[in-house]
Amino acid sequence: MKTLKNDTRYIIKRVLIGVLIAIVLFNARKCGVYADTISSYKNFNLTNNKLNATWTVNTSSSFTCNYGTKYTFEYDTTQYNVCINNRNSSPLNITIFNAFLYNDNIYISYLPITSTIFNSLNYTKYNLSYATDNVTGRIEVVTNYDNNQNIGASPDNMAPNYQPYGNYNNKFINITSYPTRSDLTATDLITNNLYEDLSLIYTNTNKPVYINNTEIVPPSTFPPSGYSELSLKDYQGVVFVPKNYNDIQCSVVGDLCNTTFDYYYQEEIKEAYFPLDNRFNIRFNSDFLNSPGVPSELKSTYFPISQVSVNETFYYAFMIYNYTNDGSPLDPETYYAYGDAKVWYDSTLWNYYLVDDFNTWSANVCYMLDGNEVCTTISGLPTLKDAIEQAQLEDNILGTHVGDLNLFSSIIRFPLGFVQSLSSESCTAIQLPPLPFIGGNISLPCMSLIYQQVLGIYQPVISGFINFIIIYYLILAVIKFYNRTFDPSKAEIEVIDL
Amino acid sequence: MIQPSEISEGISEFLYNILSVFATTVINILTAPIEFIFMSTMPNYYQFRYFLQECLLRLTQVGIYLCDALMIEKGTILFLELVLTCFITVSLTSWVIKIVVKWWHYIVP
Repeated sequence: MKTLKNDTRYIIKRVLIGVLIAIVLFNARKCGVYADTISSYKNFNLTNNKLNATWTVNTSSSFTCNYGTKYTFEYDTTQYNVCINNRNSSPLNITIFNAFLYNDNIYISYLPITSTIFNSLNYTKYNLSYATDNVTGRIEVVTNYDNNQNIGASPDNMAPNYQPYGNYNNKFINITSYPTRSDLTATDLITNNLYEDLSLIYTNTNKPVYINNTEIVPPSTFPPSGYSELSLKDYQGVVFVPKNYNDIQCSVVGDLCNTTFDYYYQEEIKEAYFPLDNRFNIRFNSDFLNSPGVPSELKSTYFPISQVSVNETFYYAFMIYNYTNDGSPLDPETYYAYGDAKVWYDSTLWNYYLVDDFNTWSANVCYMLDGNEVCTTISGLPTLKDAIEQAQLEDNILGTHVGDLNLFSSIIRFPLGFVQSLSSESCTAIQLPPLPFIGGNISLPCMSLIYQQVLGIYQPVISGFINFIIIYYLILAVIKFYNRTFDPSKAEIEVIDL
Repeated sequence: MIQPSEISEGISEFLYNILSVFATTVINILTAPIEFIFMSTMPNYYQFRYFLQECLLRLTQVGIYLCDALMIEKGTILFLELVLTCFITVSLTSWVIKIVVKWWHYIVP
């Protein structure tokens, strides 16, 4: 009996080792292949003052995702892979950009693509491109937000030549392919308010990487009666209050919740809609919202970009919902809706900037503080490359994004994602902070290139030896673990005393 | 023609996904109360989480850099990934089973 047991263990052990070695050998065939990552993402190509980008979405890539579904985008004939996290229906937002130049400013926007959208629509190909020439440029607008997410001008408010841009009756954002609109120039965009749907969006990081570029208010439909100014800046004092706080308990991560809001504009109260999701935090100050039916305590909920659809459609009403770092609200004025053609500002985690200078990635940021406009310049905004790399990293590492409520589990699961990201990400140079008293940044270059130059043909041999040693000791560790766990001599036997 | 490497990678991915989903589910269940308490009581919860995420990201970048510098190939890392996943999952499962058994003995002596 004992012999039989030992034989069985011997066979199991050998089979286990064999399987492990087979896996190692098979995987080792792809050693050094790191092309399946988005880390090689190109930054905007502004050569010849022109920016074009064509993206193709397909799901046939061999790229593997730690979590979620894989999608491949093509940009300049190069494929980039993105993992769309659709676990728990969480909308992992990836970033697609659109951009154009106007008055020597480049306006860039990122389009959110959620897993819901990806999974519910049939994507073939769509273009997000714009020639930056002010005369002959064209842009293919991605729009078609639903009635609750009116990101584009409604057909009624668009110039006849430019409508329709899509179905406005769908619940979710539709993104389809659009015909080329070579007749659409940057000037057209501006004058016809067509670029509003190039709106700010974000990655799944909470880095301030977006740029909002618009001042879009359709003529004569908003503000409410008695107010005819078109700039949202004049709408200070618009405050949105949910009619029923119970309606905004969007507790399920990734759910897109809608609720009804009242907005206050001086004495008027209109009904408005906010599409809600889990990205924006807003707090209401009861001292300010001294209206019947408004709860007295601070309420917190999450807002997306503040496209607001009301009966009298208006766009991009924006709220400043500053509160201090310790969570206490600032003065009531900070809750005013505010925005102009330059800047949208959100405090704390979410920031939207218009990039004024692409050389330094700086942006002017203005906001209301104690009733006064405060403007400042922020430099060193993360580039799109940074954003996507970080998004990709974050997805691989944590399998989550800021909307997920998994702080501890993310940390505990970190080893899983950590190792996964080690195998899927390529090396990037490490930037160290400036040295004190000396200044200047230090960059540690990736060593593989240096190895190739120095070692030449011996590099694969040395590399193979190193990896052989590592795998050898790993297998030994596995065997030791197996023996320790399944050692019959240490098995505890419960003796029943008869 | 499907290459052997694709098959093995597919198997690895399949195993990894199963194990990681299982581990994630268990961990999520176990940490949910703590998460809830922190969310309710911690004013800067999101900032804190963001800070930790940043730390983890930086750590990963350093890890990737070190792997590159030490010439550790992707196949080796994939193997390590499989071993680590198995280890975590087995440990978790063992832990959960022990807790359940003890609880059961406590309730039903």
